[in-house]
Amino acid sequence: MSSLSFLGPRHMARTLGRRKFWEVVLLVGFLLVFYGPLLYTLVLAFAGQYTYPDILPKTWSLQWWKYVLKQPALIKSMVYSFEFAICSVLLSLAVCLPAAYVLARYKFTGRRLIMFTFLIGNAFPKIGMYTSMGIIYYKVGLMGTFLGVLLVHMLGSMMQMIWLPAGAFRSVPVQQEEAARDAGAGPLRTFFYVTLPMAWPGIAVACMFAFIGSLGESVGTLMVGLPTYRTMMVEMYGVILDYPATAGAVFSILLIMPNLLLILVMRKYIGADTISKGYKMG
Amino acid sequence: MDETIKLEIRNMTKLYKNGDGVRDVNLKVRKGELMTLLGPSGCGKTTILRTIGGFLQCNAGEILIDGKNIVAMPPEKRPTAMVFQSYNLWPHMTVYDNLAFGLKLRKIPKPEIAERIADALKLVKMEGMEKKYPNQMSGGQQQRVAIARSLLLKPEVLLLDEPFSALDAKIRMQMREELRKIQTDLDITVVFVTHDQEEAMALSDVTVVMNKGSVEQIGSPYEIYHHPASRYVADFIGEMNFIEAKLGVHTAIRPENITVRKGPGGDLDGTVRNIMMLGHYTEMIVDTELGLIKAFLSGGEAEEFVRGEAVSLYFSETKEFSE
Repeated sequence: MSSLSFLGPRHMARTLGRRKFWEVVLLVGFLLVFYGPLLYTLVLAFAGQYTYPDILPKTWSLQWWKYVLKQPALIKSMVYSFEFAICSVLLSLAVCLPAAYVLARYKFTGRRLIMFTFLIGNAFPKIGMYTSMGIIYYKVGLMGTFLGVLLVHMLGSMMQMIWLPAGAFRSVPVQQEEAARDAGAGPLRTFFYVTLPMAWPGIAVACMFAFIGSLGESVGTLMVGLPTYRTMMVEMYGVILDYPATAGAVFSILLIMPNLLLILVMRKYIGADTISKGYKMG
Repeated sequence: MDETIKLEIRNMTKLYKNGDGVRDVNLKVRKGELMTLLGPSGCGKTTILRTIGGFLQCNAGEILIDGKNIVAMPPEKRPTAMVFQSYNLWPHMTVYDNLAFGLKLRKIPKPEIAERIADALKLVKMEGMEKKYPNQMSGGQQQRVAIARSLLLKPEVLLLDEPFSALDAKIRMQMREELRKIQTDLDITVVFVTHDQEEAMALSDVTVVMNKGSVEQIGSPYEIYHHPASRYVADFIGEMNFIEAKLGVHTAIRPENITVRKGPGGDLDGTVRNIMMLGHYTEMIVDTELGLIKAFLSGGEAEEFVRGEAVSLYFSETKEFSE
């Protein structure tokens, strides 16, 4: 063990200096707080025999993965989650992009007010909004329907899907569109060949947030979608209560994975610049 | 030069909400002619250009190209092409795609598109740049491509909105010469907006001097320089001394039309305030009872004078403007 004595706090303090030493301790502390639970989940998900007080499991195994992937209810919930995520992003694009374009390009009275209203949706506690939505849903027969859940998911990402694309459209110089018109393209062609490709990074980031947001939506889905539409997030409540912790760990990794993947794929688009441009009232 | 009128603007008015804009503009551009619209910023020159291009709707009047009124047409239907100040190539497309965009919309077959693009790039001296993206090129190169893009549309009238003002002086001069050459070679009709009088002088067949939304004078660069129609034009174009010898009457004298001699007895006498050597000529400022007068002397002449010396000024060409 003497060869590893450089890992001892005293030795470290000596080599790093007192100040540096505390900085390292702080960093390790932070890392543990942020990544510790994630790491634990990861370990738990692949654990075979794992008993207190072991830090690492005695054996590793994929048994809980097999178990979770054999539960038809859980598989079904994954399908639902992705269905809702994809549909809500597509539908939001169709609704919000034209709105964002108008907000970005045309100066009209009440423009700022409209931008602001999308913000207000995020200012209320969501549960209150869902309750009142539920009342309306009962009246119009949207309770427990696919469309009903979809609307809840869209509502959650409405602000991002308007603000971020609006910022992206704003950053496309009007002259670029004029040059396209000049070359003979009508307004629609100009939009699809010039404006949309140039604004795409901002729009893509908005889509990513909307997708992740939809995957993570639970309260609204629970209130509106039950008993039919049990997404992964809704099932998660049940999994926590009914299944062993290891199954929960597997399930939560399944939940995290698509988000992680998306962020990795989109990382070149995600920048302070894209996001801050979107959150300007301009 | 062909005498047919290519572009005509009749009694055109375009006013913005704040009251700025242009009033009652009448212009005629002959086929193959290069007309510059010259004036300080805010004089309405760009407004005129944008109404021709279709990016602004005029409140009244007509714009005719080959005798056909185009006022009601959207930009994509007009036989005009515009080159913008900030180049405005589409950054997500290669040079080739930028150039092919308008041709594809016109349903021109692919081999012909490639051929035309190669020709156009040769014309603007940008051969072999097809695969480059706009951000991989300098400002001057981008503007060359932008000019090629507009020429490929074979417009009846080519519109240029201060196309060289974002470039540095040397490239600006070079582009100016090349544009003039292309324009005469292809015999295209051009309307060129600039705030740079030197550029206007160097390029134009006809210059339109504008002031606060209306036309002050239309004429060849020579006419405008030597026979300014108003005090404003006299003041705006080139260097000009104004002296008020009689009340309300301003006499205008170009610095190069002043001869300086030693001692008194000239059209106006004074003392040398300053002598500045400016390369092939020298600028002398003379303090007179009617104010400071600027005179241009050749390098040799200026040698004889020193600061503070009493001199007489002789005017060879003057013009009077009454208020």
